Amino acid sequence: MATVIDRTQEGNERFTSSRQRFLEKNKKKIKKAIDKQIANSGIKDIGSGDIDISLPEDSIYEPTFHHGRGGKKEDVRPGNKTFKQNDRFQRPPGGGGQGQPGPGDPSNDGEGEDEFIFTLTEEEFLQYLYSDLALPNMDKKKGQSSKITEFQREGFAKQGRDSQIDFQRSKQHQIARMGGMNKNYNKKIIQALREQWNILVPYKDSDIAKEQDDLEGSLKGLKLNPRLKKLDEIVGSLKAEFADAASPEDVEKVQELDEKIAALQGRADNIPKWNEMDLRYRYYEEKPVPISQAVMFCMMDVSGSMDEHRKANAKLFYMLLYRFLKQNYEEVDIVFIRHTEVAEEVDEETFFYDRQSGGTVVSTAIEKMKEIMLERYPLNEWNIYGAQASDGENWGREDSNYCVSLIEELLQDIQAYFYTEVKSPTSQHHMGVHSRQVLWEAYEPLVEKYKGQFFMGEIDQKSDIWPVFREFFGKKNHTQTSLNALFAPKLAA
Amino acid sequence: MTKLLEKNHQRAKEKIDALLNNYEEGRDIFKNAAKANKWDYPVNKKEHAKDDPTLPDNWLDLVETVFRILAEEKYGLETYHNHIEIITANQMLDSYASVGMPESYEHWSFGKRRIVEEQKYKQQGGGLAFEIVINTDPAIAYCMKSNTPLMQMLVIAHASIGHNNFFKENCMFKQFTEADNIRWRIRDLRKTVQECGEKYGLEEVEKLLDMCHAVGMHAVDHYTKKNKGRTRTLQDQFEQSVDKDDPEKPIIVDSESNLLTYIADNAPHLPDWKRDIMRKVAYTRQYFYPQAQTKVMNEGWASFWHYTLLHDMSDLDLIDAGMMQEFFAAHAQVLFQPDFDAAVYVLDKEGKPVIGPDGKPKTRSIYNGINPYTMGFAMFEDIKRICEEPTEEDYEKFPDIAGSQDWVSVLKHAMENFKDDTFFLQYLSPKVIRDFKLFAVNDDDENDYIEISAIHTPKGYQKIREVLANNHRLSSFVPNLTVERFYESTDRRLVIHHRIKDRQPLDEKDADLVLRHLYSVWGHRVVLKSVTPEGEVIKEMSCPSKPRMKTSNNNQPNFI
Repeated sequence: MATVIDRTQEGNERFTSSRQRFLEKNKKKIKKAIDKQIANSGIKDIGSGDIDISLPEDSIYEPTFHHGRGGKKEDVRPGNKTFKQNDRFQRPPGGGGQGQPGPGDPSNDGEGEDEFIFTLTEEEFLQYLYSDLALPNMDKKKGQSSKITEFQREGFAKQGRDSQIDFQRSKQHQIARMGGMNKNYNKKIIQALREQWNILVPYKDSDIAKEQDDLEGSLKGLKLNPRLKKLDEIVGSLKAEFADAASPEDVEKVQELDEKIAALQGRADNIPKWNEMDLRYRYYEEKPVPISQAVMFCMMDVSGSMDEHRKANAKLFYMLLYRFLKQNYEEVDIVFIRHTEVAEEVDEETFFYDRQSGGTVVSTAIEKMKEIMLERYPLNEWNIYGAQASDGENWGREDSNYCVSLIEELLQDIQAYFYTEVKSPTSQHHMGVHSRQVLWEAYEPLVEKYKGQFFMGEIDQKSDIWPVFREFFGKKNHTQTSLNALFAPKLAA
Repeated sequence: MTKLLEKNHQRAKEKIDALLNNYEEGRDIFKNAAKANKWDYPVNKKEHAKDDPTLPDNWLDLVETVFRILAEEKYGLETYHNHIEIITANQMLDSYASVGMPESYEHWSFGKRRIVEEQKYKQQGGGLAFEIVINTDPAIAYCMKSNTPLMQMLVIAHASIGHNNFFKENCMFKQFTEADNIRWRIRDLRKTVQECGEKYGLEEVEKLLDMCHAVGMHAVDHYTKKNKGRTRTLQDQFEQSVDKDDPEKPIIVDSESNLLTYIADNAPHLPDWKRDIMRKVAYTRQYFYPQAQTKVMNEGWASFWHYTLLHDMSDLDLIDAGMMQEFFAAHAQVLFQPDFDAAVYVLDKEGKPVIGPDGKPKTRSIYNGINPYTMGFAMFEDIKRICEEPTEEDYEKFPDIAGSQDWVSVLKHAMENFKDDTFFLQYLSPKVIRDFKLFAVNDDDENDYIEISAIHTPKGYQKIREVLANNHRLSSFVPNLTVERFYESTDRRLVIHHRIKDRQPLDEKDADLVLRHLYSVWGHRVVLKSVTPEGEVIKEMSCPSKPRMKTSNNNQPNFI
């Protein structure tokens, strides 16, 4: 008979850690490859399937001692057709020719591959993509959600299901109980043995007090079980010695005691090995799980001045941000708010693709965000991020200032606020400098005031998105100075 | 069939009938499973047998039991207990990547191999081995979930009977491996690697393992399995003989071919945990040593038995003609041996032939050496034929076995006492050489031509045998390296000799990389000398490439 085991349900986790080691070994190269991929406008691929990474072959080469070219190589092959013994042929170019290629030879199909190409899963891609970025203020709120609970080990119980029996703990209790019950009987047996001794010892031809001392001396310091044994030995030898000499009454008394001892012994032996009361069960208690959840508010100006190009860039930025939040929180909600001179909550499709016309009153969007936030996302349960994309136009300085005061108010409660100004390559340049829009100027002081909480960046073309994103979340770079550094070259240009 | 075999056949038949009589579907259970195309076909015991725990209650187990009755009762083949594990394609790829060592330690190279295997799998459009079997006690066979019932039968006959019997009885496996504890050793190594990774850093451990892998083929005690786990005792140190002719008085190392263990035992500054890991890796490497040298025999033996046992099943009317047809197709696929010049057209993505620069369709060679399954199977079949239907030629070439009454014993003797090279020398018959139309090609860099040195004519038989034997000897695919001198009292350099065979040099680029690995562990210069059979050193490499000069000032080379 054979043992048949179905392992198909086990999954193939056996290899994930070796793969992890492989990725870790090539971490730098993978990060480089990912950056390259992102810069080459492959940003759309994020999240949509797997990403090919190619590594130089020599970085993962495993050398061994083996034979190289040269020397005498003789080989047997099947399928001779026309060859006769001692036929000679010119060696084909490349030396080895018909000879089988050795392990170190280039592959014989002529496609000398020196790159090792493999595919990163989406999860791995994101892990490396965001690996040196951090969310600002992430740990501020990790509230407990009362809805989600989890069973956690919580000590032991005397009742439970069979599958939850904890054998180690049960055995401890069993040993304790057995010991306790035995002790009781053993004590009684010792008492009986002592009585026997008392009856028999006078027959001995010596001083009783001295015998008493000897007995106590020999029993002193012994634990219960050995004491019982020792006493049994002593009394036994007494019985053997004086069985004949003793008077009939004494013999009868001794016999009575013998029977009593036998009965006690029998009861001790009958103690059940296992009793219900020994069993201990692992106990699980339902507890609320600390849950980290976040909501991301996407706000965008959809008035006529936001063309498709700008929207597309804004969308990519939102996508990166969403993925990043997903990476850090178990649950991420997104709320889309579009605005012209009025703001409304919409679904994703409408948010990105539906055109609207009208003016631009930015504050309406921020007001809307505040409203939804208060209504649906209690501050103690949610981490809140706001992300606003706009071409930077607003109706009048007054509204812009109102926006600033709204944001300042929000920043007391939310994790962070991102403002990206999306431009178009055709944007107006004044004197070689991007024209700063109303909003940008209004927001600028916030960056310094709320360092690490308020972020601002500018996207001209697709390739700008990743650097701006990096700048926002780089672990060390939550400062205005570095943002300035980012834009400095542009300003100079 | 000889009388004895006939008697045994009858006994096996009775036993199988008695066994199948306990099941409701009786002798039809295999055919029914094939019809239902389910290898997890329900086996329902009859009322009287319901509670008998000795009866298999799983279809695969039942298949194994029937095969085992045939193997034991009819042919007297002994096997270890069988574990049959059903796995998915992904898990099969995992097994490939762990090079037949389940529960191996973690290392980036296994991750890499896994990726390579998966890519190959995707390119080939889903061609995976039907099984992998592991030389342990119990023997573990991994069977693909996607196999048909007939394929599972083939796999069980092939792996759980054929390979299993080979592992148990072949002299190489008997001498060099300990089937009962290899799994524990591998698990232990895994644990050690994990613990050391936590204690001393993963990178450090990984670097050490890189080195172990680089000399993994040179980690075998060639002579016996009894003498493992040696450590250098004080007494050994006193007794070490010293080369008195050399002014530096190095220790003479007696041509130690187990580089890994020697370095583990003798490296001057190594912490103990590193020595420990190295020794444990060396032990597990021992396990592959017989595998590499018995490929043809092992696969041939397993193929011979899946072929024989499936035919027995058919003779007993346990499987039907349709199943046999499927069997022949699978058998032919596994034993496919293309000719040396076989090629196929290269196709583009649309399935059209790609035209090369010369205007002709491009071709791709599909010849990939001699298929060990085919060659081994043909040779065992041929030995059986020599016993049963010998020709004049056989009486002349194989006087001791030609016409033997008992082909089973002759085959068993051949399986038990040989490895690939000696097996070729002893048993490769002219008939097999002619059937395969074998020929030998000599590619010698002293000549400016390559030469057909033998073909399948009487003049060439012996030559072909010798070349085949030579190519299946370990020394032809693993260079012969031995530790020779340890300059313990001077600069502590280690001298390794490469014993040149057939003037074949080492691949220098790789050798240099391996030397770097060795140097990183040994801590002093490691010298590699290529020595001709006449004892002449014709090439010397070392890492670092030059001995460090003794200087009073560290930065200034001493010119005096």
